[in-house]
Amino acid sequence: MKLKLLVGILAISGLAMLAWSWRPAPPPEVWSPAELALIDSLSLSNLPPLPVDPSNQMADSDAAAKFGQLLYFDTGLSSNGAVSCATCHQPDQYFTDGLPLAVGLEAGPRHTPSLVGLSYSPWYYWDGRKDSQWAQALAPLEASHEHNIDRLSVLRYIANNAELRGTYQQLFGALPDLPTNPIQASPKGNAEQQAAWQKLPSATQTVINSAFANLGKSLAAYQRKLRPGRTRFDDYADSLSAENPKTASDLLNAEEIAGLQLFIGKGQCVNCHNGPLLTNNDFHNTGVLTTLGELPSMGRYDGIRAARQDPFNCLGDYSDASAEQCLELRFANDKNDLVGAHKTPTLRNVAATPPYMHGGQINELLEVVRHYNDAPTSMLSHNEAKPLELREVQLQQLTRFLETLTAPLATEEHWLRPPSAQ
Amino acid sequence: MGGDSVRRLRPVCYHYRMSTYTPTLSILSLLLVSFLAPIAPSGFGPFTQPLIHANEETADLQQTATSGTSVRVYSSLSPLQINQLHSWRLAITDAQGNPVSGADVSVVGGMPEHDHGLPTQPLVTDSPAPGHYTLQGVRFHMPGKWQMEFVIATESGTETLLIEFEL
Repeated sequence: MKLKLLVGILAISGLAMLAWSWRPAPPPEVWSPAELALIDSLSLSNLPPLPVDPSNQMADSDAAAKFGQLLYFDTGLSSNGAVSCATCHQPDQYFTDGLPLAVGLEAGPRHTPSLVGLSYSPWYYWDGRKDSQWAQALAPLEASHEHNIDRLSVLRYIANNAELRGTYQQLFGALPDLPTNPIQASPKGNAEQQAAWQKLPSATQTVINSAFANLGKSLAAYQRKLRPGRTRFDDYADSLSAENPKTASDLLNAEEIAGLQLFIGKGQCVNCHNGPLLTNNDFHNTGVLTTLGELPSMGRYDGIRAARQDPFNCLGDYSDASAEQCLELRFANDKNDLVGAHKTPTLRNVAATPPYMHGGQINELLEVVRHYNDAPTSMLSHNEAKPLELREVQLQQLTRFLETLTAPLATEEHWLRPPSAQ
Repeated sequence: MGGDSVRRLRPVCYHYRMSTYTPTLSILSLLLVSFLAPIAPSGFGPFTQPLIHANEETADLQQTATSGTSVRVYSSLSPLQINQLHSWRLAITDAQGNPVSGADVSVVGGMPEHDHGLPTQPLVTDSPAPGHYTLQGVRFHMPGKWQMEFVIATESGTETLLIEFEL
């Protein structure tokens, strides 16, 4: 008898707990002024024009963007003739690759981030070790797991291709005379390439670097064309106003609206995923597990130090900016609170771009939401996020909302394929 | 491994909280909050909203220490918004209202609720007029409660002033 009672009580409390964690939290009937302001701040309608990049005088040149497009899709810019920028940043996957870790010539240590809307960011790479899109574009060419080609070979490839050489010269003037010996040379390459680079006269190094930087500037001009498109969420946000703060809509359903309320409220997502691109383009330690077999990354703490050392940075010889214009680099924080911090990615098209996190550690969007709900202790330094204590149904609602953020790009179709296919 | 900035901010923050426990102050601040809450631009809470656009000289922020030293902040980005790099002009006066010139002014900022500092390291780069200082490289990257702590060092000593505000 006692046993039956006990089982009964246990069953009822179990059911009650289940019901509580799965009972849908109703969406609000009316948004508060504060919520309306936050929702409005996320709408794509409030995306400002692209910020100018004073370090790249070709940033907004259409001709440079077209040249950049040629380079972007050209597998000739790799040591095995099979890898281009589009190998990992694939146009039909929102310029990601669907893999946990990027695979160029071989698998690398980081997950491929989307390039859509990235030109708004003052910093590039998950650890922000580059301070411009053009400086970033140069690095994968010489990374051994990506294109694995040295800068001298890159320039020789351009020089030997009539179309590329002609276009380069129209934009930047004559290509420099390239040494015929050595064949390969780079300060970033293998030991042999580095030794060959050191033997080059410094004037030759400078003209090679300068021409190499011009390729990066063209690749950046191309990537500035990649812009996110209007989503269901944006239409919903724009349908709200102070006169019409009602939440009911045929643009988002009740579950998605409840998720939106969590996104800007109890879920605290908007702390970092803010503005029309749903990112603050800054760096945070959120206790993400390291990739398998990797020591915890120092993240931005190391990244800012690398950016300062980069000869292609805003203050460097190959930048078109004056020192006064390099405010981000000059006033960057480099303190201990950046240990283990990685860049906040955009959430635009997030449902279409799994897996997630800097090492592709998490496969499903719901699991990412769960990660932030748990806010585990960071392996290195501290997790800025605190446990959210959301119920299971709320995690689902948040995920449903995140799924409303996907839309075809606003970029004209002809930029989304190799120029030769047009 | 918390940031230096966070460690330095804590005592001030603690002091601030303690003082609100005294009943008179609590009632006063509640009254203040109830008056000001309706005009709060984005309604994140009662914290130091009154500081924003609160004075007749249209300073974006201002604070006066118990010693009488005062800092007024004029932002190149007004009203203050997140995710935009901008600069501040600081106008510092002593208890008598005279400009504090030739001071060594530095700033440490952060979000006490998130255990992190500023995304940038703002620096005073110029003093365009007596008691005025240009602070370059200011950016906030999250909505919520921010603190900016000004360390003002002059020949007569070092003074610390904390401004809290909501973005």
